[in-house]
Amino acid sequence: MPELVQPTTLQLTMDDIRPLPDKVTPKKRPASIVFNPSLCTGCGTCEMVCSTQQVQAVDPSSAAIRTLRSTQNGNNFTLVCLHCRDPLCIPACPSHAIKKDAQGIVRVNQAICTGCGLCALACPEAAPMMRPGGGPVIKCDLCDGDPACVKQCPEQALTFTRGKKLGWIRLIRWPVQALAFFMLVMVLAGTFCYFKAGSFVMACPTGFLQNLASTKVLLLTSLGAASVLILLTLFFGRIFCGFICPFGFVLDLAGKIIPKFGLPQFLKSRLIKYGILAGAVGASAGIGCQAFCTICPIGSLCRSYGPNGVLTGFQMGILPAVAALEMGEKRSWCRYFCPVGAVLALAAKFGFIKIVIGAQQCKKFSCMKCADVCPMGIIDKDALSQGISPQIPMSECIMCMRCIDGCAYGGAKIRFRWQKSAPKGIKI
Amino acid sequence: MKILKNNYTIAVVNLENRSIINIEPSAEMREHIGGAAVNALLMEKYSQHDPLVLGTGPLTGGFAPASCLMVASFCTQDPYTETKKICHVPVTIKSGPLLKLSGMDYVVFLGQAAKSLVIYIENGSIRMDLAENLEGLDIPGAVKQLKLKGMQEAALITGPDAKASQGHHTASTGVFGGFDRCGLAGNMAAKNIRAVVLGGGKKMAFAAEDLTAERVLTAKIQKQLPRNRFLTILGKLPDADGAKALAKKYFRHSHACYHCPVGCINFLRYPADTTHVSKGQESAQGVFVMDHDGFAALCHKRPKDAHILMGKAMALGLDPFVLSEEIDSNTPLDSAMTQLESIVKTKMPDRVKKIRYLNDGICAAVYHLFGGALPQIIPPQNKEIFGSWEERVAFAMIVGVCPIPLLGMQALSPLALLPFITRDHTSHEGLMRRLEKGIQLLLNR
Repeated sequence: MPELVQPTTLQLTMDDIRPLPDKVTPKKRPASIVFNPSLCTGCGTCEMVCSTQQVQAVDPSSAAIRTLRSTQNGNNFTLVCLHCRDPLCIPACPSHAIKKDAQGIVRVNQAICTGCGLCALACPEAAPMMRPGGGPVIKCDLCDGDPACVKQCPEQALTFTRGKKLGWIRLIRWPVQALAFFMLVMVLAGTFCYFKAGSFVMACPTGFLQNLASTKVLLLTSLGAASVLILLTLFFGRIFCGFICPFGFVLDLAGKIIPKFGLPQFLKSRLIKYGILAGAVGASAGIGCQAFCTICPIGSLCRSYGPNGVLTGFQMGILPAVAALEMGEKRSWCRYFCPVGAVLALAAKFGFIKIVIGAQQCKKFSCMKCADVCPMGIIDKDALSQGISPQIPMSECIMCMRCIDGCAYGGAKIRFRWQKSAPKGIKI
Repeated sequence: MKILKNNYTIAVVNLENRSIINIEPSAEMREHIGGAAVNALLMEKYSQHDPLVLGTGPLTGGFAPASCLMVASFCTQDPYTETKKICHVPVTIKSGPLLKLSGMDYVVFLGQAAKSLVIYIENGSIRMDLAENLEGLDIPGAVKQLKLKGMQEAALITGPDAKASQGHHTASTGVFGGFDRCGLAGNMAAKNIRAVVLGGGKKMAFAAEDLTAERVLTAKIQKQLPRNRFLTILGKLPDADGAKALAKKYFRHSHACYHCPVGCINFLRYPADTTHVSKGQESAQGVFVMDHDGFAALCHKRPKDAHILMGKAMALGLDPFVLSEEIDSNTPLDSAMTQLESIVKTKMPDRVKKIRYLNDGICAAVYHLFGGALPQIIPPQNKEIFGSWEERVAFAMIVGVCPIPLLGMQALSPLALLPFITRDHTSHEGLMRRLEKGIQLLLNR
């Protein structure tokens, strides 16, 4: 006959009653529980296990985690504290009973909590639970870094994560961008965007379309060369724009030092680049040569170096003019005007991969770091502030992976287009 | 030997004069462990007052896997022998744990109320309210109404016209349906009980060792689960090809009862009939398939729209298996729906259901004894104790775990559950003898 666990009495110390303010150093890898709704069956094991930790007895109504069943949609959902980066419950508490410790765990001081419930009202997830009979609120404290609900969940729908080590993708991206710049500008010296040797012609996709419009002749070698970039985009998204484009590298560097003043509203339409593409193809058909290539900033940059690298007339002004757009928004040229990006955007629309921001891993309103770092500005802050996972339009995503790199909670992931499930958390 | 977590708190509710008393269990009740065995003894004790007994087992609400069971026992007419017999219906989802967390182990309802009632069991007390605001509402409507009053769980609820017949209505656990094909809804309607609502409010002690034991056992069960979760039960049913095809087409999510690692409830989501949907309304519908056997029978009759009919039947509190016999197979869906609505109000109390096909190894009378709706999964013949279908179900109904995982999952056997009843291994032999007695009591009466 085993001994039954008895409820323990609350022992107060002076630190509980009058806690001294302490300086909290934010943890780089904050702890958090990640919920995967596609695995949860709503069995409620997490509730019963949590209650054994909270009140030393089985009583799901006293648990700090709550399972909700949607009988209309057939989904299950778990409410649990996300331990936000900037928790809204802390300033809402009139008795200053909630604080975030050095581990990043948001804790309620049971001794001074009056159970007023203002924290539950302030929390968009309604994570602090009110006790059925009144008293201090019940809130997840991650069982001091070893959450019992995660261990007992039969479907492994809950995972405990400390996020991931930050910043490793940028350590790859910057050298790749620099290498690509060196190769395309200094080694290939302009032959990348247009190369002709007899009947052998190679061009970028936009150049190929202009060439086709101007000469009315389909050159298979040119089509093949353009297809390489299109295929790359189908498999990896607009990775050319994010990792390879030399002008993108220049814009990224310029963006580091140029202050941002915003763009006028009439210029902020992502359809402009398609208009420029159509205009370039139409003009090429009219004048009989590649109209846009003469002013293309990518081409101008590629042709600017080497023995034959001469920028003339209009080209002299195009690079600084386009770079000056960087004063408007990050990668303004790529967002709104680049016709090469427009062709690749059409391909990426039907590509095989996508970027998803997981519903539960994401801290949404309290973080938004992915939206802040996205150079294309395609992560919807309004959706995040409403607690909704934003949809990422892959035609506009340049696959720089800054969102993945920047998310401390492992919420942003690359997935195949046909995968529907939310990404799983990272086990530690 | 002390059985863990079995308090034998018994409340007797007289519906005629609305009185409630608590009684002490007899020595015989203590000897028979709990669940359906104690229910049977309570039925015998109050046999003069047409009792309806709700009871839990020693494992209900604890850390044993699938410990969700409450047993509803009552007297009904056996369709095979046409004699009055006791019937024990398994009630799942969160009913058992919440009854225990409400401070009751057994509740006996005697007599007949003058007006339709909702019974609230919460925090150690029982309250009876008039069910006037539920009049005419279907089951989802009634559940919604009860939730507005702060209900946690509707353990048992009947459709709006359950009084019309005992034969073709079924009692539902919330909006999930149930395992009742022997007239529990009719019995509740005869007593004027529209719903039994459980609210919890108390706490249960637990043994710390159970947490570790549960993790080990759950991991074993998880390994045996099929990759396609809708096949967990449907895949083991004979003659269920139509049901499997529909489930495959519309399967969205699997749901589990309280603390169950199996999750055998299939939620099917399908497009709503667009002609009846106005702009802005939800354009999809869903149905929980807990009564897999009834769903399979309905799919056999109407393989294309069984899910829609099942949803409607569950809302009205109709038995899908009886529907499969009554409804025409070739009529359009609209006509079938109209036919279904007319069946709800039809009085057919004397019609005895056809004797259905049963798997070898399942006795028809025993199948009816346990509600007549449990899946006919024959457990693996590995010479283990309580190895037959009847013995396994009876064991589950006594200890308070859902019989379905016990039938379908090899890892979850009676022997694996014994440590959750008592940690004293030396007393397991004695416990087995007492369980055997309880099983004999259930199967022989």
